[in-house]
Amino acid sequence: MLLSLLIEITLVVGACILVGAVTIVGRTRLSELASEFRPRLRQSGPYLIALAVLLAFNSVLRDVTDEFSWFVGWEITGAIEAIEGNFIGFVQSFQTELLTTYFSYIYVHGYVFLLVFPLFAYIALQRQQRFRELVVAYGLNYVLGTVLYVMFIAFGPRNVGIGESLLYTTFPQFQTLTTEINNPTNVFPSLHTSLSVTAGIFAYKTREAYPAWLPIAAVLAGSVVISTMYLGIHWAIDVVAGIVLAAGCVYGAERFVAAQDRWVAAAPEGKSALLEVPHLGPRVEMLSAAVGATRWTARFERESDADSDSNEVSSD
Amino acid sequence: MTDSEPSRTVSRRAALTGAAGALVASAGCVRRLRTTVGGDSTGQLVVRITIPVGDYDPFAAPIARHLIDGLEAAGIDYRLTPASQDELYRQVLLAADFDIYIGRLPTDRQPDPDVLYPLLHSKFRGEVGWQNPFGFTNPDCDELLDDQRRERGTDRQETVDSLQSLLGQTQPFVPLVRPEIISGVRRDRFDDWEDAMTEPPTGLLRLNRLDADDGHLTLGTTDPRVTENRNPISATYSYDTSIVSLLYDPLVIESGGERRNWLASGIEWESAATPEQEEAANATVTLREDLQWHDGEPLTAADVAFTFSFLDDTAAGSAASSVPSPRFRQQSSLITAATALDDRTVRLTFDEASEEVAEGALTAPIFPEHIWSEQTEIASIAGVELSEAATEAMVWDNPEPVGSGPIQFEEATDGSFVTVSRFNDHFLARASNNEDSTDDADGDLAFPVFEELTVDLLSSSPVLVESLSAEDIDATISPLDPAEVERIEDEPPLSLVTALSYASYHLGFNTRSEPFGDPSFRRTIARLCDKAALAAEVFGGYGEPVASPLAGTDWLADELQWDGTDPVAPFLGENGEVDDTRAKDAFRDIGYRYNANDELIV
Repeated sequence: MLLSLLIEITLVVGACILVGAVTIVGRTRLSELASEFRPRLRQSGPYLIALAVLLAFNSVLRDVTDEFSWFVGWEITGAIEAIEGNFIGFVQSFQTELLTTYFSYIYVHGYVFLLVFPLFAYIALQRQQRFRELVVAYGLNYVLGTVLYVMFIAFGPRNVGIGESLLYTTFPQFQTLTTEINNPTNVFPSLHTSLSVTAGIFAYKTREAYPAWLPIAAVLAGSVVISTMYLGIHWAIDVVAGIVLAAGCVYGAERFVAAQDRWVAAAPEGKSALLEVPHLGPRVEMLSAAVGATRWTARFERESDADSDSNEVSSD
Repeated sequence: MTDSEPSRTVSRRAALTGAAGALVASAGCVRRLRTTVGGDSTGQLVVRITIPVGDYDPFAAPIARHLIDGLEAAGIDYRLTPASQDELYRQVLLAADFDIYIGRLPTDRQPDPDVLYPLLHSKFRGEVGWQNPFGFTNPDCDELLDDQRRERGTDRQETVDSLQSLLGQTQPFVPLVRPEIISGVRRDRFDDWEDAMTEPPTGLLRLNRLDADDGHLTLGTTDPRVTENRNPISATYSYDTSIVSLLYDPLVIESGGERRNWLASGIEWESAATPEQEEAANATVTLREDLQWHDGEPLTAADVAFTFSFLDDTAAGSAASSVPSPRFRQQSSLITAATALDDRTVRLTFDEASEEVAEGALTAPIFPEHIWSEQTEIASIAGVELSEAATEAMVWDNPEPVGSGPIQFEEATDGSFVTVSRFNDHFLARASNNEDSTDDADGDLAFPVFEELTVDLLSSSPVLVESLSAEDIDATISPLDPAEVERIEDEPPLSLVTALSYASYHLGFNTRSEPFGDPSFRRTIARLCDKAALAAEVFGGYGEPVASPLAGTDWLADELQWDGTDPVAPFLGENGEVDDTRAKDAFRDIGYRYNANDELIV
């Protein structure tokens, strides 16, 4: 069941990306990308590798952090309910079969497309800055999200009898996927919301390069946000926290990439010192990415300590 | 307390809040205030409700919602504390950190009244596990519990009746609904599921194999625990309903409300009887011949003797005071000494109890001494001892259990599956090879018809039914959501098997804290629950409202028989809706007060 679902999602999202590539990215940028693919990948690849390592690490750690969370975490389900009451029940009172189907597919397929397409679209841009910022922002979302999941133990409304578990009663097969990648105590904040809003904010920032992507991303991000509540998976408070997290991560990612660019520019060997490691194979690139990441962080900490009183990013 | 203390407290607090100047109160003023309110709080009562959540238990959350509606009608505020299945039992059974929890009673077999002994006797209130988790202390209750252990016949029935009516009056826990466990099964490879599902997993020994070519039985569950922890004495564990109970053997097995010799081939009682009472002083138990553990070691009387002293003190005397097992206390509290006379004979000495009750002690699983004697140290993490209350044996996951049961462990992956196989050296295997055997002690429980058995963890009731339909599993063994019934009935060869469980859903009170220590308060809380409506709506009719934990047994007291309404805690409303005025009046009548906002204050 899980495998066929994964294949289905890959096919659907792949098809959407293909259509998006032709219509939104456009022919000129695609052919440019084709000729410049290797240098761009060399330049921005380490970011992607770092993100992949982070995600893999996260999935291994998840069971451990969950147990740990019961040990140190703050149980807030009751408090959330005391604040927002039956808001989710109210949202679900508008349910129709059509809406349920729409939001279910948005929650799974739409969400994946919304997150993956910009990676593709931004690597097709001449300047790689947005691409790197996006990858860093995604990474920050996961890191901060995990920290918050350890700090707070909260179950979703569907688990405590507020509203219905619409997604899983309508499309039980989706649950075989979501139980693989998340635990029921991890609902505060909503990472579906924060990652979608992150992609939405970037769509706004890149509206000049990709004017057609902004409205699509806006509708998708808005739909994902609503779907998390409509399907009974998240509380409204999780969603608010997710939006705040997204804003913080975009801000942090921009500062991070800017700081890193300055550092590379200031490095004695010029810009290629760290990131461009030709002919040494992916193993070395990965290693250099890891080493580089720690050096960037150290550098970034020093800078942000010096010029700002807000060092929330570096402290993580 | 000296006169200056209140003012000192207040000014310190005031300074802390940064309003020192505004809140300078003299001692006299504070005293006046304290007298006026008669305590240190005028706030609305907030009740914490701890519930298990997750797809394994679809009923606890809706029961909590029903209770919450009642509490709100009575002007009581609430905080829901959802927890995973094992976290719930950690909070309730180990840490006693709760007000009210919603859960199921720990026995799934037809209970003898003596199951109430560890559950409610005050002498267990300091122990962790399923020993008096309510912290209930009632001298009359203790006396009745002690008496029923010694008495016979109608005397015992009368005592058990009095015990039930006392529980009805004091409600240390509120029995709500006996759930009818819904299973979906396929009849194309195995059959006789009705027998198998009445008392799973023991019932699996009654299963009939049709022509399953590979003899591999696959069951689906939504309970992750068996994939993670296979320790029979772990408190967070549900032993009765788990296949772990087929990995171990007791001396005497309890099935279908009857007991039959299992590891024991014979039991000789030496009792001192009077017309009203008898006392089983000693029993000499002879084991079957050639018993073996799954690892090939011989199972001897020494293992039996070890088991009973181990259940009584899992620290084996190494701790300052004994650390009893969180489970099987009913059994271990009956036995005062166990001595191996030779390899196959063990002599058991009992505390004051009739033969009938004493025999219940023999239903505890027998543990291999060579494995568990190494787990008697005080539990520690990275060399740091946590507390004197837990031994390694209690916190151990027992990942590769070695028992003597008809099935043996093969492999498992956390959060995914467990596979076991038939244990060909089990005495049941010998019986099945020898058709002429005169040994009929095992009755209809036979050596497994399946060669291997896998329990697959799946995510929810709909997924269970989907897997059943796709022939991925032969049956479901965790309770299905009633919403799935229709689909199973409409889709041959799937079919529906239901069995009433004795593990009733109940509200448990932490009577150690106020106002839950007040029996009248607890009984009025019980009256906020419409048990009949719960059975009809939450359980979709697959459940029976109950007023006694012994409902469904011959021991049920006449006055606790369900007769359309609750005989001892009648609902304060109608058709599932609590009547606000009646609820508040009921609390006023027992001395509770309301503020101007109609909030119950404490």
